[in-house]
Amino acid sequence: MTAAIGKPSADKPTDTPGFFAKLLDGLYAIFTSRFLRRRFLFYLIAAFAAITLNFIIPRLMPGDPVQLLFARFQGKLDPRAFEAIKAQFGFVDGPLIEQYLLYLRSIITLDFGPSIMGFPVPVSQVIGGSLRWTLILAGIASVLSFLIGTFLGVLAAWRRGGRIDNVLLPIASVFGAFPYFFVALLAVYIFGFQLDIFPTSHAYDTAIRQDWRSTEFLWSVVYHMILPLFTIILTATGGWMLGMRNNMIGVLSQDYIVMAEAKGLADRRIMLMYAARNAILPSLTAFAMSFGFIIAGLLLTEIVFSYPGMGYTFLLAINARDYPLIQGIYLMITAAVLLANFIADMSYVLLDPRAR
Amino acid sequence: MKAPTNEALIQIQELNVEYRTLRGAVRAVENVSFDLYPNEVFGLAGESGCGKTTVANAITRLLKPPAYITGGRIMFRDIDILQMSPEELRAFRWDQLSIVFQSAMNALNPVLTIGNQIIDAMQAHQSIAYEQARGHAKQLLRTVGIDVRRVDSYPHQLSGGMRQRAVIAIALALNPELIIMDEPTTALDVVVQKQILQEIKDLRDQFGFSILFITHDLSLLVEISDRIGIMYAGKFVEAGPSLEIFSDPKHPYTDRLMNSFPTVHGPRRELLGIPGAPPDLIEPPAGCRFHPRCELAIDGECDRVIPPLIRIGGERDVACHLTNQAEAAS
Amino acid sequence: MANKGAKGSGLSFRLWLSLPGWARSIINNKKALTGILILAFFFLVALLAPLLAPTAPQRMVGRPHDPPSEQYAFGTTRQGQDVYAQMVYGAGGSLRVGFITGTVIIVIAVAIGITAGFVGGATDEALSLIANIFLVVAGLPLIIVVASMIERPGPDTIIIVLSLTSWAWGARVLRSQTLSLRNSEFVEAARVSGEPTWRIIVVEILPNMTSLVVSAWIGAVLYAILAQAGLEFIGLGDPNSVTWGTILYWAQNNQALLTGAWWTFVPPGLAIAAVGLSLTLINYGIDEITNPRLSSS
Repeated sequence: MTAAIGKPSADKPTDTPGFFAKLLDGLYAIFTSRFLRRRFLFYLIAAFAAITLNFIIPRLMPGDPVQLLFARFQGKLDPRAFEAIKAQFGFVDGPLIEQYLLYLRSIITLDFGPSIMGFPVPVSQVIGGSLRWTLILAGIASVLSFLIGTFLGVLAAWRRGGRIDNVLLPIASVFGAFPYFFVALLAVYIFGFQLDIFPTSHAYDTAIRQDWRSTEFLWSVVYHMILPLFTIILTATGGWMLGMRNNMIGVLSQDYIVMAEAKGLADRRIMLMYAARNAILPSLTAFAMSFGFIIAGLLLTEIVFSYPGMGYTFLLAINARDYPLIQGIYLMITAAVLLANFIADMSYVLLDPRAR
Repeated sequence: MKAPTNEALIQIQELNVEYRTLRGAVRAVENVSFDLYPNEVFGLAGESGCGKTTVANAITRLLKPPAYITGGRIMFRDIDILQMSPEELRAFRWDQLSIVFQSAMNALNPVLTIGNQIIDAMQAHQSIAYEQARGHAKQLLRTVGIDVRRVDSYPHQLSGGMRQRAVIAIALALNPELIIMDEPTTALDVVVQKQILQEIKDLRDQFGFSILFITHDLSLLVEISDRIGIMYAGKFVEAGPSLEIFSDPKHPYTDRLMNSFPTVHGPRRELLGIPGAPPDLIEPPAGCRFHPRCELAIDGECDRVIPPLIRIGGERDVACHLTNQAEAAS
Repeated sequence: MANKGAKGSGLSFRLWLSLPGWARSIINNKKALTGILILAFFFLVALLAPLLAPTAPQRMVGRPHDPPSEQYAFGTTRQGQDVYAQMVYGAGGSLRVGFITGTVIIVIAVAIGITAGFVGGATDEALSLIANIFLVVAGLPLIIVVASMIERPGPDTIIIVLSLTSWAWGARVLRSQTLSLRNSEFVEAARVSGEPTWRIIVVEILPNMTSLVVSAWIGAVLYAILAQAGLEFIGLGDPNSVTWGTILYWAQNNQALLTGAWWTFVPPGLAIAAVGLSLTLINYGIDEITNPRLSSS
């Protein structure tokens, strides 16, 4: 019986369609997807809604909005700056619609006016400096915790009642219930102040010149990132793990899993290409939907670590009641969340042929 | 139809399967034995829950807890499937025995193309390059009547009938000796059902595999099978050549089952249906398991003594006190 | 499976049988029961605060940053306040905001989700669009923007702001459940028999998504407690109110990390985590009860 049966050879790269062909297929799917076009339109509407909310909120506040917002700066700022900021927010004498159009024009040109605490540095410049740190940290932290959690969830479901399912999952779930910033506080306290293994603030050693080509600088960046990254992964992994485990358990009872087993496929291939490949789809939707929550946790984490990203700048802006900066950061965060959502949608199209 | 003369391809001997539930053990399959010969179509029929799918899953060893095989042997030629190691089993599956599942929509992986699902099976068992396997997959699709361009289609892009054909193509991928078909046409409309059935017959003639055909619809079996086994509540109640069973059913249950479906050809007649429901298998009725639903049951006998499955001449087996008495009288 | 403990004596067994089915399945689920017990403990602490704490939480009673001692089990703050008293009184502040906010969120979510799912058509399109927009543009950053424009937002302001911005997730979940229920046979039957819409919603639809509503409610409470703590921690609350979040705020402001006064931030953090864990456990339990396949045993 064994004579006719060779060893499974699916692992050889030449036995699968070329990487380039797959890439082209993927790109084609993304560009022709009606689903993505609809999503893109939705994100435009959402961005517009965020921009409009940003305009409405100060005007909804009790009392005279102009008074409330700017009273405390009257006298502290020179009158020219004060007028410039007012105009930036469309707080000019004139009908609401005129104010709104004025406001829209400055937003579209990415001109958020001058920052109050850093006057006369424009808000866009303050944001630009901190945006990169948040994007790096947020990108790595959210993708890593999603991937680690999802992968562990696959294993937990595949070996039901095994050690990952019975020990690691409950532990990860307990940490998942902790507030991000509390875990961050503990981490800074224990590993920073008490054990003195990791730095307690900033994104790199400020004694080193900021040069992205120097290994010394890069190492310093990595070193400063380890602790914040660790806290986020510790608290965020459990949720993805449980979600993926439960999706997997649903998928594992499907007929196509039984058929894959009957086909004599290798366990690993059934687990990854038949079970996980299908179970990850709802997780991906949840990932996109929860991106706002992830960012929120990240902002607080940054504050604890004095990590010079958007979250930390947000805190400085809040303490100084620097409204132009607060609003600019809010719009940037929203833009980042929308972009991340769109990226998640694109990967969904790549992974689920039914969405093409 | 060929007479089953040569050596059996697969022999099921005294198979017992139980489901261990909180209420107790459900004896889903009890002492089932039958043989299947090369190039033969054997039909397994009965109401849902009678254990026919459990038999199929036992043969392929796809039973999952709480189902356990508690006894018997399943000889594939001279190897006992139940004794195979996991690696032997992996190599054996699909290469020599494949399955066509009930619902093609659920049996196909929604995120892989039809072609890749065929190629998957080939690459798991043979050392074959992707392009070559792909050529083979196209050939298979053509064989089952699907446009070869569909090789890159995903399951959701195919119609119900095409999906079922694709599932059959996957089952043929390694040219197995035995294909188990579990209600392969149930989900389809009548016209497509007939086409697929014809397709299966043609493929059998072309490739020469054997089929274990499982259905609750007896009228399908007369179309396709050489021999039939009728199951009730986990046991065989009757077995024999299909034409003989159709023209002269011996067991009252077979009789009722035949009358509960319209034949594909044949004149319309009144459908009788079977009153009552199949018994609880944790505490099955004493004696003949069918007696509570049987109009002809003999008090004091059918509700006490278990009727054995007895050969009553030719190739027919029946487990019924009535038949046994009639045989004894003649 | 009957509860082992309850099977013993006749009286408690009868009491056991008199419980409704859902209560029995919750008590039988280890996770849900643990969660409820933890939560009950904190509720008791909150209710009995004046009895449990000898001193007012804001009173200066000792030396600044005294470590835990026999006199002050949890030590003192930089201002010399008793951390234990603050913790006990803070329980009420945190739980009150969490549960009121969670309840308001779920009421809004149920109203919008069921309306969208049941009425369908343009109403559904519009409501779903709004919910989806809130999902991607709202969240904590928006709340921070709003809160930063209010002078000293107290607990009530936080309740209002959180409720108005956080209903979208629940609405989305409940809408899709309503959609699938709307097409079910029993709703179809009720519609054909001419029952009024409100009756179909109240009698046929709501009871069939109880577990989903409850788990969305618990999720909303959890979110509210964490969000409140986060807002207060960064100084967007009323620093004079006593909640676990403001204790953390003062700890951070008084350089507790630097000076090693761990007793000022570990108790409130652990308390929030414990309440969070209890809510998560209850939700896992509900998941397992409604979908037994997920249970780990």
